Amino acid sequence: MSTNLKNVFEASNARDFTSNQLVNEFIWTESFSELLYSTKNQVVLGSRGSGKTALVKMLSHQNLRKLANKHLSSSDKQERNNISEAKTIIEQRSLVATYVPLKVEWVNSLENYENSKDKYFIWSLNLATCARLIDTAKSCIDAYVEDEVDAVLVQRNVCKNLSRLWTLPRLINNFQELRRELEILEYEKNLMFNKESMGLTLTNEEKVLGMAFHGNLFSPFTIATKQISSALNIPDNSKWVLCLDEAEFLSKEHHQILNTHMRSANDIFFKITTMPYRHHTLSTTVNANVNVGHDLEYIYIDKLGTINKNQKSSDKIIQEFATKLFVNRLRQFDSDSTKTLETLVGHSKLAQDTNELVTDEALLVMIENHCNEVTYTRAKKLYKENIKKFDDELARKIRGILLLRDEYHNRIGSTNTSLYSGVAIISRCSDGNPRRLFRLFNHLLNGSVEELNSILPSVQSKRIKSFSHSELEVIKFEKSGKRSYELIKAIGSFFKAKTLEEKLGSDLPQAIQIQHSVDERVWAAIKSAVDLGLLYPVVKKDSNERSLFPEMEGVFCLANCLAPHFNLFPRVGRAVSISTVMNSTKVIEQMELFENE
Amino acid sequence: MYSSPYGSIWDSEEITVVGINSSARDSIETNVHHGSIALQDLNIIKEEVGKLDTKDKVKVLLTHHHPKNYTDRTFQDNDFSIMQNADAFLRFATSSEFDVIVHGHKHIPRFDIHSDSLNYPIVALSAGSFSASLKDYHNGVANFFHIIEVEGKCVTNDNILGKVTTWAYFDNNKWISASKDRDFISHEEFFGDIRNRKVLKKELKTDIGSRIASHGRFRWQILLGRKPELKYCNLGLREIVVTELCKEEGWEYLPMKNNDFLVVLEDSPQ
Repeated sequence: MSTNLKNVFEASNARDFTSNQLVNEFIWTESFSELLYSTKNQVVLGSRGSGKTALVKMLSHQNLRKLANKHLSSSDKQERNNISEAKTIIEQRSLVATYVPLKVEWVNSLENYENSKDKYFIWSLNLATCARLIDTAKSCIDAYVEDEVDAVLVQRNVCKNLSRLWTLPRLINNFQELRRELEILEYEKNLMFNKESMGLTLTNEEKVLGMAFHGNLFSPFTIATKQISSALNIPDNSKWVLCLDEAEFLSKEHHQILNTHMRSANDIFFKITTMPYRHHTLSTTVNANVNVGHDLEYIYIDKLGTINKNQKSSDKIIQEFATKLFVNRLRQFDSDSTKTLETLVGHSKLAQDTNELVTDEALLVMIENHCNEVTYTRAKKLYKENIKKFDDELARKIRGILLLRDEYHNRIGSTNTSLYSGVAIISRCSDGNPRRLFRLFNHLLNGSVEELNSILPSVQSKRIKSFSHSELEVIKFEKSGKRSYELIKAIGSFFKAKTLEEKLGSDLPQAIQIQHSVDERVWAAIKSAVDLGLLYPVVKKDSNERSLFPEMEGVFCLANCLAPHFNLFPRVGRAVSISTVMNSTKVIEQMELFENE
Repeated sequence: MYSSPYGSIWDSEEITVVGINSSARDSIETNVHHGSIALQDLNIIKEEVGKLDTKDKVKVLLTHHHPKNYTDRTFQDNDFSIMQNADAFLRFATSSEFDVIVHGHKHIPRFDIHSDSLNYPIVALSAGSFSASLKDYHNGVANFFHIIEVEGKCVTNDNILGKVTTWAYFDNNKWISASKDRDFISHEEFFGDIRNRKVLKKELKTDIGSRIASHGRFRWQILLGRKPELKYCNLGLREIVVTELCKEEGWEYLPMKNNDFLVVLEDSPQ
């Protein structure tokens, strides 16, 4: 069966995935295990497209159950183990999670109710969490009540009890109607809040509408979970989890409210997703901050959570992920396809760690041509005395960069490099960001509707450069994106000059260091770039510490997806101060960053 | 199909399909107008159908325009969906004892049973569109496909028994089961059982009442064991009847999967 490839790798948001799509494409990562097994509240930090939504959505009972029942066609041992773990969790009823997206349009609508903002926030969030709990309850009944008649009678009891607890106008006996009732209630309450904000008098009937959801935040949800536990014999030590997605849209005050609950809640655990610099505060509405490591922990999932690992391990994990994601998506469209990413793009020359590509002797010549005197002298010495040391301490680090630079300097006319090609480089250039991976696959296929035939390295390179350029360009359309764009351009141009124009040392810079003295606008641009996955923090510390994302300090590397655009080798290099970058004569023209817009 | 009488007949061992081209008089030079079937063309086709041996075959009548004037939910412009001589067309269908009418035109699916003074019920399916792009033109109507399954014949009335199963296509969800609330056609529309509302209500009142009295609850599937023909009772009709009965008798209706349902006494502990 031929595959119409036009839409196969259309980048999509897990928010819009059906349950089946999510389960079929889901790849179990270490971050997911951390979410699944932790007994703490967690804040999941990740840049756009890094997979936050997919992770917390998969935690939900209905999706985890689907995963537990997934039929495996491949012989992947790890995947079998993962499915078995999911099955155990479902069977033992040890975790019951509900997924709740915090939609931007809802958050925006809070602005319409100036005097009732907090009241509306609590009411709406209570209703939203309870509405989603219905899906969880349904999934639990499907999982734990075998007999069909018993299942419908349990549903009846649960629904009637929830109708009473939530003070609904009538007793409802099935989930479909309960869902509909909450939808109508939400609509009517919106009208009421509108009326109130216009200064109109409310009737008593309007005031008591959805009264139960005016209570304490998460109380209606919590009491409902107890009802469901009782009806389904879910043990007391089971974890009820509330997954709140896209909390970056909430304000600082809202985060304070959520922090307060994380500090005090015992009945439910929270998994909240947001962007790296958008957990706005650790303060609460009482006189104590939420304690990182005690009340909550951070999980940083960029680069598939490999930010603390060495380059080799990180590359391996990201490459495995990329190849699996390619196959999983392709099989949604053609279940019989045997094509893999490797058959499409082949191996990467740039990432090969052997001297098959260029001999040590030829490499020494390149070092002489492109490196500084100190480096060349060291190279000669090592080459003469200890070839293994030459390879370990120098050649391995510098081979890829030299190849790029050599090709750049020896290019004829407008010929393109073929070095940005192959599985390893493509995986690296994705930065382990799933949505970026889909965009990259799409660029590689270039809107083709033909069969999946292998793509020439030169063609791959051209398309990856085009992809890299588009990843940078798109930032201009973000809020305050122009500043971030200018900053990234400045940083990229600086490193490009260092890599391609100046004589190379053995420890090439390709990261920036921020000190407290950095301009606030520059800092804002950096945070924005991190949120969008164009800069990544270089983190060596324990991810549970607040210092994971310190304020106005840190080391940041350029996203690998930008490397082809700036003719760089995708890597983390030595850090240089941001002021060195900004003061460089090469980037003086980017000084408009500091001008008022 | 493109010359008088603007019809075709496909006749095989198990099925006879007659197609009538109600768009035959359309062209780029004519103004938008109703579909039409000329009476003389209809008579010629009727004569041809009369020559065939269709005794044990399923008979399907196909056309483009609407033989009935449906409630319009799309736009307020003048509607030329209904065909001229629709009454004659429908009379031809019932008098020739067609089992199914399928038509299109508006791309909005509908299921109904048509009958007239000849008392012969015909399944009337206004089919959705499988492949036309409808998003902008039709306010987001999905694409559809339908499968008409004929499972047998009523031993009393000789009309076909079966169901129409419908799937809808949405960009995000791909193919999913149709839903009455969203698509104006249920995922499964059964046909064949010709009990009307009063008759069905009277019968179910007895069946449900006696079962609740003896067992504390009633399950539809168990009744089907005794009265299998009720499987072909239209689900919409069934729901109306059961809901009314529950209101009148103090029962509670509990929907289950696979078109099954339970009825219990209201406020019974269970």
